[in-house]
Amino acid sequence: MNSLLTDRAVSHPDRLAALDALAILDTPAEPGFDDVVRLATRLCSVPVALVSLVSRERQWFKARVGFDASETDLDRSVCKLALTAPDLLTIPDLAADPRTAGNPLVSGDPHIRFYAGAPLRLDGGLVIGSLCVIDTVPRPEGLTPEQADDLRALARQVVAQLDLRIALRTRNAALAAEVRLKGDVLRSESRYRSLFEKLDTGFCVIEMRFEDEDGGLRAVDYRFLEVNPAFAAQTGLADAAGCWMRDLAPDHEQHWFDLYGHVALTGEAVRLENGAASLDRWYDVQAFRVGAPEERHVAILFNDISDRRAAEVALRASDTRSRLAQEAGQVGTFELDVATDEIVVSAEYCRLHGLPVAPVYTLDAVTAPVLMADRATLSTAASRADGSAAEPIEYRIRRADDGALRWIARQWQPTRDERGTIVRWFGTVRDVTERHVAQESLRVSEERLSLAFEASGSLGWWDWDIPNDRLYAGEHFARMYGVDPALAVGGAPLTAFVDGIHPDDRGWVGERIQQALDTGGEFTEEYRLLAPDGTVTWVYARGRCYHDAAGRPLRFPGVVTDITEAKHAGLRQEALLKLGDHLRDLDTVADFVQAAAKTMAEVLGATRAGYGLVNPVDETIDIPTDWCAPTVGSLSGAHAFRDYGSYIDNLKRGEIVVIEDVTQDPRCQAMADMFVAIGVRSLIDVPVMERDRLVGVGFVHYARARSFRPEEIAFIRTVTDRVQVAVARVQAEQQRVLLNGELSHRLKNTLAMVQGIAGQTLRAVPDQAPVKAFTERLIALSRAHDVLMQDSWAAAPIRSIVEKVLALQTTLTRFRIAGPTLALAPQATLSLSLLLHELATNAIKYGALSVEGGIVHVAWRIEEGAERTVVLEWRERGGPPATAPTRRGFGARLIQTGLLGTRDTHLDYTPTGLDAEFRAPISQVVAS
Amino acid sequence: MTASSDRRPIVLLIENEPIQMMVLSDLIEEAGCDVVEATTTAKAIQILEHRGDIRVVVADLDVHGSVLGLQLAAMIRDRWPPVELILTGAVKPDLSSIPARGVFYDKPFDQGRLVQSIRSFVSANQ
Repeated sequence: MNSLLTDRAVSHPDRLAALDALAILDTPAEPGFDDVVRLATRLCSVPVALVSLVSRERQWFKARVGFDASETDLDRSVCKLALTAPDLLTIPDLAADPRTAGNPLVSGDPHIRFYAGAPLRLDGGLVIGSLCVIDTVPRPEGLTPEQADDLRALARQVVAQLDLRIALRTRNAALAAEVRLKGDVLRSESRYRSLFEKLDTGFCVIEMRFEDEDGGLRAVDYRFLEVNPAFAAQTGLADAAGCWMRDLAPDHEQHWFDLYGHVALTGEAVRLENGAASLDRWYDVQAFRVGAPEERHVAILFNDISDRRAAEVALRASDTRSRLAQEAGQVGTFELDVATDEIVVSAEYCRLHGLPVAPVYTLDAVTAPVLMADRATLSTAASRADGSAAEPIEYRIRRADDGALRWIARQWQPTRDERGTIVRWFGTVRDVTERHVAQESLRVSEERLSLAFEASGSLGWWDWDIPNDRLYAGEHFARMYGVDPALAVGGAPLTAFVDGIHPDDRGWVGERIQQALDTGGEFTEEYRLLAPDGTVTWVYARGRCYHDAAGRPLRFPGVVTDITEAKHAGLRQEALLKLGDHLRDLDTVADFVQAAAKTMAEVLGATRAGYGLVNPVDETIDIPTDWCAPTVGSLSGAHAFRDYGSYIDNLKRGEIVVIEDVTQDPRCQAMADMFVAIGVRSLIDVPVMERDRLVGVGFVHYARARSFRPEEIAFIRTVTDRVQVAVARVQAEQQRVLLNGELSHRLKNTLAMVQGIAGQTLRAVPDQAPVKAFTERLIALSRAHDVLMQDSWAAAPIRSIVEKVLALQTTLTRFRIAGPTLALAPQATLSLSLLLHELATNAIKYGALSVEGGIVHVAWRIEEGAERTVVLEWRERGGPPATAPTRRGFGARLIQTGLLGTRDTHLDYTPTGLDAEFRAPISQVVAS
Repeated sequence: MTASSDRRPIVLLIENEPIQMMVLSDLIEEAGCDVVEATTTAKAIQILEHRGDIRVVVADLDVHGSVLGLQLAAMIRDRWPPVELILTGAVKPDLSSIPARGVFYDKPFDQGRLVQSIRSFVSANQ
């Protein structure tokens, strides 16, 4: 029981903790303790004394006399028994006491026999060991009472010594701590200074200045106490230390002062980002109070984040882009079992398809979102089995959850078993919608443009990358210029396209292109293209050359329109106008035909053109002249129709003959060689009919086979018709001239015969004057016919009539003739002639012309009014006074009747001579 | 043609129209001349070749058309230079094609002037 109690005391935690707190075990010997044990041996007359400290597993001797070992295990310890003793423990014979008889130190060497120990009891009552004295012989009387008291006193002294040790140690520790602390502060000071100097972050300590403001303090300025080198770099403020902020940056925002003031007053640390407009920067700022509150010192750490902020702004702008990029970058994986059609999918795969996240789906389930239109691109059981489905594909899905239309790109590879059979497909899917959207919009816009262009059928586009000499062009453009469209889409050198330009235009078009390159200006030209098959296309090209900033040609885009039709229509129109002028000016059939032939050949690009006059009876065609290309011989002369095939029959029926290839057309196939020999491979013959009879043929020849457009045939028909009309006009003119000549001839001969008959008949009449008057009137009438005949009896110039008729009587010097130009109608011509003849006859007989120096004013004018009227005046001057005739003969009556029998005649017989006026409506006088 | 002393100047008249022939013959005689009539160009040339006394030829150009008539006039001027030429016609020819000294009367014309022309030719040549 005792040993149990002893063991419990030994291992009492408080006791052990107190022992540990003493930190005395294994420490060197100390004179204070050594003195105690020496005193103890003397006082108690024993050879051995020990300060024994009992720990959990051993007893250690802080001081010892008469004992070699510094410690023993607890089996050899007697002191442990003292732990539980209320006072001094005395055992007179250790060998006799059952608690100690077995102790090796008792039974064995050094054979101790007597023990007395005083417990070492600390302030709290805890016993940590004992001060003991030992003898090797039993001492049945034990210690004397004085010896026992001394030992107790010495034990108390040991405890006191131990307390002192603790006090000392605490003091030393405090001292050591103080020393250590001093070193730390020194070290940290230098570390912070170094940091402070080397820091990229701006750092400063400021002292705030406040002013009283109603009910509080207002921060008005601060002064820099300390600034680090980075401060200047961050703020742009050099040598700031010692300066007031207001002096350095007068515009510095008040909010900064308020902020630091707040920190200085409250001790509250702040961190924020803010802009400093006066410094044109953004800062990340940390501010905290340092030192004593009343000092109002604030330390500030700050970073210039202007660049970062700019980057952030840019980042935000590209946020959408990057988000989309991320979305596009998402990859789902899957593994398809060929045998079961089960597909093991990743969560991302499910999300991409909008399917609930699950590890396994059936193939049908993952195929369901795919658009019907795109399912044809998907693999089939067969293509999966034989491996032909290995190509990557892209398809559209209607996402199962949100219905979004997405593009999915799928790549996969088969895995095979040992027999080579495909058992699984492993692959990835990616959402590539963004790329498709971009491509799609591009494609759509291109397609839209291209469609618009191509649909027009006559519009092509090009875009010339000048530095790389790559001309990109639409399909239509490429075809027009004879370049493979597939090549043009990828860009081809300019020369490839220039080759398509007509050789006659290539030179000047090249110059214009160069001009546009030099000036960076517009290019707007009409020119011809020549296809390898000889087809000429007119184009209207409109583009612009763009220069880069350095003024170098960069791009040259444009559009080109096929204006062949419009151009040809214009050319044809122009040609017809010109031809019309020619035909008016020319007056022989040969000239007409030449002009028409040239026109047709030029406009239609023919090698020969002409017009032939047909003799329908012997079926010959007489070609007065034709127009031929330099290499082609003329066909002028007479030709037998039948030599050239059977199409004469078509012509005779008034049908236009179009032969696109003489070697193919059944009507002339047999004599194709003959056609080819005269340079004719294709031709158009246009018949000219007159009262259902073939009278002429317009023809156009080509040295090569070609087809004809309806407009071209219509053009030939028009030209031919015009030639025919012109020819007919000339022929009619010639006939009319002939007829008029004959008519006039006969008329005048008749008049001469009338004259002769009258003369013969009236030969016996004594008074020949009336006969003479009759003859003269006849002659006057004849002269009027002469004048009329000059313009084919259609009209006569009034002055010619006046002069002709008056000249019959006397010289024209006796007349003053004046009046506007008028073309007289035939009837008016005859009437005027007879009227003037009678007036002149009278003037010679009785009036102004009967005396020397007398003259007659003959004038005519047009009088405006309700009805425009021609007024003819006859005023005689310088002759005798005029008197009205007493006799009303033929002459007087004719004068009274006036012009055209209107009887609108005013005769005034004045002393100075006759004044006469004759009026007639202009509509009757003037030729229409 | 009876006696050389009272022989009147001979005028060759070429005309194929009977009434005109009658009128012109009268006018020639009125001018104091004898008339030799021919109705064709060939006949007229024959007469000129066989007679040397023709002083004046009055020819109607309409007999064979003005061109033929003018050719005749030119031939007469060539072969018988002294013979005077008086031409008539319904169509006035190009005046430059009328031989030198020849005169032209556009039908119908003032008969008195024709008579005067004949007289002046005959008297000038006497």
